Amino acid sequence: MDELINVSDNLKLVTIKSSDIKKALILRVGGVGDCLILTPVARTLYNQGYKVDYMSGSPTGNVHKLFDGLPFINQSLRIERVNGIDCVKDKNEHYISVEILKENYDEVFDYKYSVEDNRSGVNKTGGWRNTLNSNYMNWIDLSLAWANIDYTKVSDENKKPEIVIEPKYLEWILTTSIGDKKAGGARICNIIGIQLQASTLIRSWYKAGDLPKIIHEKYPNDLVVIFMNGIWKVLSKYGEGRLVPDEFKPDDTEFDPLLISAAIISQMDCFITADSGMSHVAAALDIPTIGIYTTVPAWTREKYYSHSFPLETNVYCHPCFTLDAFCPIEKENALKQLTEREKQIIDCHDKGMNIVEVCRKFNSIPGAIQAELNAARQRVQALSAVEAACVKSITSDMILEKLDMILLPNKINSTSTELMEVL
Amino acid sequence: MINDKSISLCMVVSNDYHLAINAINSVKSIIDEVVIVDQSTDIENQKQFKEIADLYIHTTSKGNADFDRQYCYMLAGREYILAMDSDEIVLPEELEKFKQIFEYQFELTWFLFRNLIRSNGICVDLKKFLQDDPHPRLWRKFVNVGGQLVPTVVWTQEAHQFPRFNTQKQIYSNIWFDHNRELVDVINTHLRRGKNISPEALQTEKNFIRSVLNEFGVEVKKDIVIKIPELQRYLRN
Repeated sequence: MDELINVSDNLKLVTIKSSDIKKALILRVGGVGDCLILTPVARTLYNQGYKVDYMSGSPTGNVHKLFDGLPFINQSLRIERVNGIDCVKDKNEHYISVEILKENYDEVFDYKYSVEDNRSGVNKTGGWRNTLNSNYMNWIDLSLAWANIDYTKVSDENKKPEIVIEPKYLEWILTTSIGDKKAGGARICNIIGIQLQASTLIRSWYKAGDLPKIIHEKYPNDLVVIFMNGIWKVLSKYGEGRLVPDEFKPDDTEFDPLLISAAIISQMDCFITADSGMSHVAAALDIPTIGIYTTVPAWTREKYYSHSFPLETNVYCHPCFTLDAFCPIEKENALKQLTEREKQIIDCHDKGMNIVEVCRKFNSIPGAIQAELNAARQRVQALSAVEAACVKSITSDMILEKLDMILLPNKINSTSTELMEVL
Repeated sequence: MINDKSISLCMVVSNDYHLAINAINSVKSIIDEVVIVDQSTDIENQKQFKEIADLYIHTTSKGNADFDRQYCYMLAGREYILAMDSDEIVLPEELEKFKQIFEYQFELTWFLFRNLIRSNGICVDLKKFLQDDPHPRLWRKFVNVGGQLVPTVVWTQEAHQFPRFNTQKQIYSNIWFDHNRELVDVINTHLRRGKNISPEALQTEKNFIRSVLNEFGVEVKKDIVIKIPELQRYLRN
């Protein structure tokens, strides 16, 4: 006891000045998922005592808004590319390049020069750099490692992405046919979401349009929400409707399409999705997800997602790690179907042969050779655009089986009368 | 001087003192030095420029300022270079905003341009063709690249070609320059320059003149052709 008193006597009050807190900056330009999976990095840095700013930019939408308000992120700012320079708009509406802003931080984690080198087709970095690619390692682990964080010492729970949805979106969604409010705070049917378009064709599931009908046959009283052609649609046995705020206009900044999608996903009981950014939005919201994986192994994306039920193909060529539009095997088959002359013209082009030499070889003129090359390439593209074996191997029945696993244990036996009230 | 940063105003001029003096006066409160490279042929203009410049170099008339830009900017003696043409001005409310950009450790700043052309009481805003027309106009004379000091901006001697930048520390500011010109002056400048620029640049300029004349309408076109008869031949060839 005496010892304890002595210890407490020796304790001094240490004041931490704001200038003592180290500032870290995370930079990422990419898809929604690419930006989202860096929230575990931000959280870990925050836990290490950093004040973390996150600058992100995505052609898919205002992804930075998803991080605005996260407790471990001090500022979430939008990166915009001006004349090829990544900039952030300041309060006076000047676009300041991130290279200037980096000077204000103790640590800068610029993911532009890091893990993702997944160009279309093949991973062109080659050699040992392939090991830095998220096709070969779980990409959250990889992102943590890139920030000099030992990912083996970060708990699985802390490897989950996190987002914030602005209250106005949640208020809106609750007033819609899929929201709780419509049912007086107690929803009585399941909401099943479908979004099967990935950023590349080979990772998309082509038959998404057929799914709502198939699901309805099995779950007639539930609502199916599907994202098709840029809009969310609600389908029920009573018909279909669009799910969009009344005030929403496509070019309006008042309602952001990405946050609308996040709000809709937040209401789902199950989300059937491709290897796309939305699967990570669902993971951040703890929504049970059936992720369809064709060319890339599911564990590279979903290893730490506790509510994930991945559906992976078992074809012999899986995983081929292709992020291109087309299956490499189908592409090869397409190339085989070309005429000998077409093959040779493509070959000359790929070898970088001088056009004059090519003309001499084929007894033609530059304009005609160029036209032949374009035509041959288009033919390859057309012949390659067939459903790949890995995509074909995933069937509706497999999806339904997973859906049963998620919904049946807690399925609500809603009656048509109750559903009428909801709608 | 702003935020302890000293600025050289650099201008390549040519027989246009009446315009240049407005440009210099519009930024007088923030600059520490005026560097003028003078292509004037008029003796009176030369005298006037010599009087207002801290550093004055007279050179030959080339019909095009681009030939002397890099030379002019290398003469600057201060940390930052503000590049202006004689027919540009910065309004006081815009000049006030310069303080905002000097809060950052920038190496190059772009400005937006309000391009107006006047003739016969009609004013045409070129926003339709050129949008906000951003230009790099303020930069540090040198930057450190791999331990060596190199010019931040390297200008080509070609018209309508962007310079090369040796820095990514750039600001795309929300500050406007006013670029006001008379139609007659614009056409005369282009005619003079026509002999000294590349065929591609010449074609760009002809398309530009055609578009501007279309905006002014038939009456102004007729009037301009009377004033500058060689215009028709210039546009036809």
